[in-house]
Amino acid sequence: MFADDMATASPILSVEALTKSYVGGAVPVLQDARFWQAEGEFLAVVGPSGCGKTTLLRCIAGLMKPDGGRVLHRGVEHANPPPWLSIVFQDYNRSLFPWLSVRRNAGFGLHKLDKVERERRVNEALAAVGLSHAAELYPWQLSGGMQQRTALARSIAASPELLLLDEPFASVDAQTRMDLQDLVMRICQEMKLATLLVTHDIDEAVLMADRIVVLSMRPARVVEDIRVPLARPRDQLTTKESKEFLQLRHRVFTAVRQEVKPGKPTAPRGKSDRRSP
Amino acid sequence: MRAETLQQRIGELAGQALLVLVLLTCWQVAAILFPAPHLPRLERIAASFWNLVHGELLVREVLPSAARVGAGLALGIVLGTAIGLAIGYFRALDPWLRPILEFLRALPAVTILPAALLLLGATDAMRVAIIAFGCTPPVLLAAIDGARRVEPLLLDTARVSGLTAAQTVARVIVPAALPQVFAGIRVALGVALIMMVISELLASNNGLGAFIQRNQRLFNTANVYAGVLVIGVLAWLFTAAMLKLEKRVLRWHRGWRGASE
Repeated sequence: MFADDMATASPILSVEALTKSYVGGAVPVLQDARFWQAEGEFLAVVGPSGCGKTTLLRCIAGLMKPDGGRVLHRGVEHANPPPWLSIVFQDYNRSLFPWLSVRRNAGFGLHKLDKVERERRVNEALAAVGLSHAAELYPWQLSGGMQQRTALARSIAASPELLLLDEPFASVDAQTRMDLQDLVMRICQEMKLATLLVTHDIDEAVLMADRIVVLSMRPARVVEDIRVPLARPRDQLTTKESKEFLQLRHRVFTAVRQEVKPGKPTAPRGKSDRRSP
Repeated sequence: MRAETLQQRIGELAGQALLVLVLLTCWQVAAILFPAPHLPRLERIAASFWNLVHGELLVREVLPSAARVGAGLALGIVLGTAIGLAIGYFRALDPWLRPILEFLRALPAVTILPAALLLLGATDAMRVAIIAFGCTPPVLLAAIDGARRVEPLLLDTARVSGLTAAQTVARVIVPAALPQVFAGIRVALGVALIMMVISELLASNNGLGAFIQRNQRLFNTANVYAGVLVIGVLAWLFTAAMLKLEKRVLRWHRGWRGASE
C-alpha cells in the first residue's frame, strides 16, 4: 500500500498549518506543520529529539489545543479526544492502571459496550498480542515488553480507525523492540489499520512505515515526505539487508542530520529573528 | 510475608506471653502487698471486664461507644475523601483553601467540644459530629495528596478512552488516591477513639467514657480499669478490621510498590 495509490481518496487524517508554542509564545514548538495520512497507511513521523514530535501527537489526539491550524479526520475537525482514535504511549508503566488486571486494562475503554461484546473484543485483542495466558495478571507482574503489549491490546480492542504510537518501543530492550515492531507490523497489516508512528529511530521508521514525514528542529515543520516502497511482509533480516532499505535509511538519515547540523542556526533563535518586526 | 519458621513464631509468642505474665504478676503482688482502692486485684478487674463485655452492660455501655466511633469515622471518611479529592483534582482551589486546611489540621479537635455541646446539646448527634470533625482533616489532606499525585498519563488514557468526568473520578482518581486515603484513615481512627472517649467523659450518661467516669466517682476502680481495657480491645478491633479491609482493597498497591522498587 503506497501513498500514491491513496492520494486520490480522502485522507483519514490531515494536519493543516499546525502551530503551537509554550510559555505564552516564548517557546515555539510547532510552526506550520502540515501533512496528511491516507486510509490504511502506516505513516512514521521522525525528527531530531526534542523537536516537538510528542506535542504534534498530542495535538492530533485532541489532548492539547494547538494555537493555530487544524486537525481533520476525513475532512471534519474535532476538539476533544475523538472515539475513532487510540494511543499507545511510550511509558507503559505509567499508562497502564496498576489496580486492574491485564484483561481489565485491555477493556478499559470499552465501557459503552455490553459485557458479551466487551469480552469478545478483549479476548481477540489479547490473543492478537499474545497475552491470553497472562490475562489475569497485573501489569506490574509483567516484563516491559508484555506491559507494552497490554497497552497495545487496549488500543486495538477499541477498534480505532487511527492508531497513534508515541515512541512505543523506546523504553524496552533491543530484542523486545524487534519483537514488538514485528507484532505491530503484523497487526496493522491484518487489521488494515491506519497507524501514525512517532519515533526518533530512523531504522524503525524505514522498516515499519509506508511513508515517512521528517520534521525540522524546533519549532517543527515538515521538511521531507519520503515514500517507503518496500514490499510487505517485511522482517528484521531480509528487509533491513536489502539495498532499497539502506538507500532509504541513508535518505531519511541525511534529512534528519541536515536538521541537527552544528553549522545551522538553532531553530528557535532563527524563528524569533524572523518574527521580529 | 516474612520468612520465618513455625519454631521462631512459637518462640516469639512465648516471649510475648511471658512478658505479659510478668507485668500481671507485678500488679497482683503490689495489689496484695499494698491494699488500696486504686489498686484492685486482678480477679476483680477480670470480673468487671467480663461483666462489661457480655449482657446488659455490653449493650448499654460498649455498643453505643463502638457505634459512635463507627458512625463518626464513616462520616469523616466520606466527607474527607469527597472534599479532598475535589480540592486535589481542581488544583486552582488549593492555594486558597490551604491556610484553612492547615489551621484545621493543627487545631486539636477536642477544643470544639464545648461549642458543639452548646450547638447540639448532649446528644448522640453531637458526639458523632465531633468524632467526624476530628476524623475529616487527616483523611481530607491525604485525599488531596492522593488526587494530586494521580499519574497524568492515566488521565490522558481516560480522556482518549472517552470517559466522562464522573467516570474518570470513579475509575481513575478514586482508585489511584486510595493508598493515600487509607493512610489518612489510619490517623483518623486514632482521633476517632480519642474524640469518642472525651465526648463521653464530658457529656454522656452511657458509653465507655461515661462508664469509666461514673465508676471513678464511686471509687469502683476495678470497673475503671476494666473500662480502659475494653477501650483498648475496641481500638484493637477497629484497627484490625481496617487493616484487613486495606489489605483487600490495596492488594495491587503492595505488589505494584514491590515491583517498582
